[in-house]
Amino acid sequence: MTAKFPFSRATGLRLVAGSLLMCSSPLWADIQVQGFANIVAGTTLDDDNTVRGYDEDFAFDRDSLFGVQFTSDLSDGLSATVQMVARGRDDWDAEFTWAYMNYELSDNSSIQFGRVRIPFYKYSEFLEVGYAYHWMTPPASVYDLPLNNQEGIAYTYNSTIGSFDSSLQFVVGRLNEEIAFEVDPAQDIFDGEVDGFDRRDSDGRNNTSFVWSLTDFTWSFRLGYTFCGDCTLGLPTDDFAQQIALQAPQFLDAMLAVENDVSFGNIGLRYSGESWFTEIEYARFSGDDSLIPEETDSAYWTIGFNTDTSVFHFTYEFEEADPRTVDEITGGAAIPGALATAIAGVAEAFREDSETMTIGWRYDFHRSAAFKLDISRIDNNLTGESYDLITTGVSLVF
Amino acid sequence: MKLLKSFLATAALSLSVVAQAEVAIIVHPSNNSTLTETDLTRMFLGKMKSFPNGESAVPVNMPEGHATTDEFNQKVLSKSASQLKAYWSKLVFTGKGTPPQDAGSAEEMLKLVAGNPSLIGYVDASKVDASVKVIAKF
Repeated sequence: MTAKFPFSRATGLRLVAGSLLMCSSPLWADIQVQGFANIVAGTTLDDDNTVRGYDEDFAFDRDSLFGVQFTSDLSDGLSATVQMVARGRDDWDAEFTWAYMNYELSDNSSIQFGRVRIPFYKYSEFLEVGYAYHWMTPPASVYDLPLNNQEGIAYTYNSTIGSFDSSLQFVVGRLNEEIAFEVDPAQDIFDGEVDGFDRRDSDGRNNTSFVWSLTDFTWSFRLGYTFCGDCTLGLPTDDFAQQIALQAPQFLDAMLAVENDVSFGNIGLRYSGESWFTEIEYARFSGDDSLIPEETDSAYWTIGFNTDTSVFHFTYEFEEADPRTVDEITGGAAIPGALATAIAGVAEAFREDSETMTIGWRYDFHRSAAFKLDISRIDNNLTGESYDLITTGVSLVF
Repeated sequence: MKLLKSFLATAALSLSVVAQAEVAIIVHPSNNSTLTETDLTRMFLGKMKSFPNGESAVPVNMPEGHATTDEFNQKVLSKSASQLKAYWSKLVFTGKGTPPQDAGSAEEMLKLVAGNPSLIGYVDASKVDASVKVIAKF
């Protein structure tokens, strides 16, 4: 953020000019350029396994990314912002993560209109701004969602409740794009691109989020609920479902996620003291009338200790989901055993039972850059296998 | 008695050290606001946007890395420079806030604050002159 974060001399001078001529408006819009980057290298400590896209050789392209943001202050409370992120995993193709007009309705309320990030959970809106948090990447059990963005309108209302600052956020939008599910490379056979991601078209209409957050800078509390009442999600299991439907077309709808209700509920609490902090966040993803499990629960607990330039931290996280039973999918219909086995097999793809423990170090070696090292042990309770993963790198803002 | 004397001398010395690095919170002379430390924190972290009398408040920082800035961040905001930057990164890249603008120097800060009743800033207490009003010292 060399230009404006801290603000440049030019802005300082403009402030002088502005303070002399309070009502003057700029002749042309002043564009601020700000950016962030994560350069991440990761490897597993085991020979034969791929974990979160990493294998036994150091890889740099998986979580490395560059983001750049342009903001134009059009004065009188109106501004326009675009933010683009280029990720190593997408061959550095840039994607618009934000593109919106912001209008300050008053000192305590504003409207954003355009492409925004969906505020599922606490870190969702700044998921890729590594400098803003202590981990290399936020806990995957909660945050490895295949969708992040939508087009819509967001209204924010800020107020104070006692000694707390309260922020209410209400967002309505539509997401209509390809979403990328992370799959085992051996199963990445349907979209013609073997990269560990299965891409599917999805359409979420009237996607609505409510977020309430409270903070007094020591304690922070967040309650979030995102609801998609008419959501069509392409699932990595859709091709299997289609094959099964050749024999039993009446169950096709129950095996797909077409125009269904899905929701993301979330509660979080954080304590930030002078020398240590702790945070807990719990998330529940639910789906109705589809192959998506009724409840996928995930959570993490993290604790960190600060020195002047370092944070030492520990995090425990889990993810848990029981798949729908064949009876739930077929409505209890009597079906041949082989068909039941096939349907159960597809549903089983949604079973989750894993726990992860991470110890990490963030070292602020530079005014705008932090070195990070995270070592994780991931226990897959379904297979009984454990994996060790090391991710390390630098997060910066500029 | 001698011990007490040397203790007092040490205390006085450390007091004078503190006094040297004191940060004065300054506003326009016409501004009659009384602000608590919490108010100041909320203002400089973008949560409080007006003075108690309802007039809009625009905080101004000293430059990043300046001794007075570090002093202010530590004593008033209770945050290290990187914690503060992490805080603003979160807001800047989600469109939820922008950090205060910077004055280039103590002299510029005094000139800005003396010339605009909306501004609130801070300087090393030894730099304060009659053009501004000190509302708190830390």
